[in-house]
Amino acid sequence: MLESKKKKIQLKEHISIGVYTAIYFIICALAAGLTVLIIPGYSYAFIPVITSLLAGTIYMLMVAKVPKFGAISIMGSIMGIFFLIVGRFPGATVIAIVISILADVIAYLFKYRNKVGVLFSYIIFSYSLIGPVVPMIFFPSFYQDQLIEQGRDAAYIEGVFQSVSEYTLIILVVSILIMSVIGGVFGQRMMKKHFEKAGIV
Amino acid sequence: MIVKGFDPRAKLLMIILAAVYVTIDLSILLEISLILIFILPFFVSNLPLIGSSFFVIYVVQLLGSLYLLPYVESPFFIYIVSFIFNGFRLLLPGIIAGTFAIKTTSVSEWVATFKTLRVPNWLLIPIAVMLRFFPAVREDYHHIRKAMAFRGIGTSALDLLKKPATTFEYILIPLLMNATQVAEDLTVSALTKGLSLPGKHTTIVQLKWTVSDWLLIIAALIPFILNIGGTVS
Repeated sequence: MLESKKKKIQLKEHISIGVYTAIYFIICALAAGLTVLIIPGYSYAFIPVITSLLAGTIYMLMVAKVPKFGAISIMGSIMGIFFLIVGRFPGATVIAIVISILADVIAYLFKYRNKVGVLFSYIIFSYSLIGPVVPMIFFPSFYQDQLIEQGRDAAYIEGVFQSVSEYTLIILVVSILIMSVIGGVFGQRMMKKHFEKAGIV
Repeated sequence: MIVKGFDPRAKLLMIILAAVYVTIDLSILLEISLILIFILPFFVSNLPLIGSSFFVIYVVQLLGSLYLLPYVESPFFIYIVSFIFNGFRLLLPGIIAGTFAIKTTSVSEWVATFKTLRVPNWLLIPIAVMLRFFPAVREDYHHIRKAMAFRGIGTSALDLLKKPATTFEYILIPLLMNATQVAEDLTVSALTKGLSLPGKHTTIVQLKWTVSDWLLIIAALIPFILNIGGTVS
């Protein structure tokens, strides 16, 4: 029984997850604030990139403090529920939940200890925020029809949307990859520099 | 303590309805009435400023889509402008409903709502803790900035630009150290209040679904019904 109790997340850890998710949420909001105004409308797509750069430390701290299956999933799911409540694209919630569970599974396979494994899990987790951007990249037909109704050349419009969407997607995927590696390594260095020394972890 | 104003569940239902509307192609007239129905709760709940600013945003988007977009020629700008005026316009009802829900619901009402919706404890406790923790973070942040200013670190925006990583580290690390401490304190207080006990937990917040909730939901369905009627005839 003691064994099963150890594996399941306890009340104490639920509270820790809540506290860390709050800080993660604030970092997302900060990243959104920094990003949104650079190119109005368009740079909205790059909020996940800045978040992945900044949120590495909090992720590493949470994994170290709650090294159990569920912590990462709960953090990602809460962000997903938030997307739903503020009325973003509803699929964003599903994307956030599925990707964070995937990140959780990867970290679990590495027993939440292996540095490279946890970094890999953080890279995957960084993609969980991509949901609100999806309608912009994958469903331009929603708003491309209106352009055609206004008398634009259909083939031209489709070409434009396809190429801009493709480039945006490639830039987005690659830059999240790079930024999450930087953010994750920074986070792991911070863990070593501060938290391990202070005996918090 | 009975919840005043609209039931949080009605607010959530409005958000879901808004998500359904994204997939429906409404005529301009029905779209305008949809927006008017969605901003109505702001005026009932004494937040006319937010309600009217959403309407202004909508009108700007509509005018931009009708009169500005046809003259944009550069491919990249077509993409951006049509996202702001057409794509973002489709998401606007959801954003309106979401803003209303966030602005008019207190933390204890959210917790009570999630409880009635049978959200499991492993999700409910982190959410409740998170919502309560936000004000504490703000206070901590001010303390940290004061301590940094006292030692002459990161006092100006220039420092932030010159050494972004270091400044970020100086702010984030104390915040996280403190968060870890707060988590321990909260655990003790939660255990004292019996949060880990089995059985049904009570709440002083009572949700009540009233006539006004029904009216709001029915009103929000009108454009949908008219749209179906319109395509038939």
